[in-house]
Order: sequence, then C-alpha cells, then structure tokens
Amino acid sequence: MATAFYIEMAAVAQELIDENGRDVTAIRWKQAPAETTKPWEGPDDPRGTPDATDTVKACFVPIQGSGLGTDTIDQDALKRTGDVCLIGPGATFDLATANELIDGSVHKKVTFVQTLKPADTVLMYYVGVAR
Amino acid sequence: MSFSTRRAAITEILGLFRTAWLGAGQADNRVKYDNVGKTTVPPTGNTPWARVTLRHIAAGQGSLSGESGQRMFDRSGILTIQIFVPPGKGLAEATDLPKIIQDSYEGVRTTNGAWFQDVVVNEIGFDGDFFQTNVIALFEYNEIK
Repeated sequence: MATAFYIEMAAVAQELIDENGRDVTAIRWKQAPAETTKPWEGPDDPRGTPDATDTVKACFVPIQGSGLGTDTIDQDALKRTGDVCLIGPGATFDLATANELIDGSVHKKVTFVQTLKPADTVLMYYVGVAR
Repeated sequence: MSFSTRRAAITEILGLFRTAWLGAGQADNRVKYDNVGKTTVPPTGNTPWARVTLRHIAAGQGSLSGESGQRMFDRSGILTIQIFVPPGKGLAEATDLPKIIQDSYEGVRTTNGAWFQDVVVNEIGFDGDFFQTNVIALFEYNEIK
C-alpha cells in the first residue's frame, strides 16, 4: 500500500521537476586507474570516458540550512556550495555517486547529495554543487 | 641512489603502502588517494578503508654540478595514512592494521633511496561510523636533474 503511494509520489515529483527544471548532465567520473598497480595516479581521462552519465532535469532552489526534512547537512559542505537543485528519481544511475553536473557549459562539482527515499523508492535527490 | 622524476619517487613511496595494504588482506578499491574521484570510499559494510595524503614540504640543492651538468636536490615531506576500521571491534584491528603499515616504512629505504623517519601511529578515535588511526611518516629522497 505504502509502496504504491511512494511510486505515485515519485511520478509526481518527476513531473513537477520536469515542468520547472532545466537540463543538466550528471556525471560519475571514471574511477578505474590507468595502471592498476598505481591507483594514486588515477584514470587518464575521467571526464572524457565517465563511468556513468545522464541528462536530467534539475530544479534549482534557494540554499537552505536544512535538507530533506532534517538538519543534517554539514555546515562546511554548505559553505562550499554555490547552488542547490532538486532532481527527480528518473536518473539512470544513483546520483548519490555523481561527481559533477554540467549546467549549460559550466562544470559544477557535487558537494553533497541527499536522497529522499522512503522504503525502497527514490522520490528525489537534493544536490549541492559548486563552481 | 636517487630519482630522476618526482613521479618515480611518489610511486616508490606509495608503493610501499599498497604492498603492505594488499598483504594485510585489504583491497585497492578501499583506498582514497588525492584527487581521484572514487565514490566507493568510504565503503559501507564491515571493512576497513584508508585515505592516503602525501605532501612535499621542503626542497634544496644538495650538490654542485659535475661534468654532466646535473645536480642533486634534496626533497622531503610528510606522508599521512588515515586508517578507518569498523566500529565495535575493539582495538585489535585498529592496532594491527596501522602496525603493518608502520612496519612497511619504519627503518626502510626504497630501491632508489627514499627513506623514512619518525614513523608514528596515532590513535585518533571515532570519525563518523569508523574508528580512525593515523600513520605519519617523514620522508626524504634525492632528485637528480
């Protein structure tokens, strides 16, 4: 019963964000190192060949000192944050693992991600980014 | 013994950590290195993880040039390895794992001459869901160019 309600709410959240948001590209950089014996050197081109990428609608909102119903956002993370946006549950990968958003031509680093997820249903992501 | 590049020195210094870490039954994907966009660290679950930070702090000329025109330069810095073990497991793993890392550096000289002094283990306490212990080593090496 509750699960059906959450699925319905997820659809509503996605619809509202689609109506009021703009396109951004979420990226999870490539993580596998170029040389497995030297993981500290990282991958050759983490942005050029990302692990995951998806274009989603993001609705940018004023920065608040609180997250999704809680006061758990690290104040230091907030200081590093320039914008906060709401993203719906329709992304093709878990946005909690995203490294950056491309907003227009601007690359914005993800500073925190909060996920509103009652039971097993993701309703929306609350994503902080900084230039 | 000396290095011809900075990257070669870093590779030997951090290579000691990696060898000890893997030898202790740990995995590469639970180590966070500087500026590597790893989202699997810190891990969830009942496994230790580590964050490795290498900082050069001093440099100076160590020799006059010879016939080849090359000179030797001294480099030194601090290597900090933060080790996080799961909560509720007492001090056993929080002692043994840092000790393995400490032993991999203390009194050791690498193939090309990086050496370490004052390798210390500091218990820090709880950090989030994990118990943190730091291994800190001062390193020195020579670079010829």
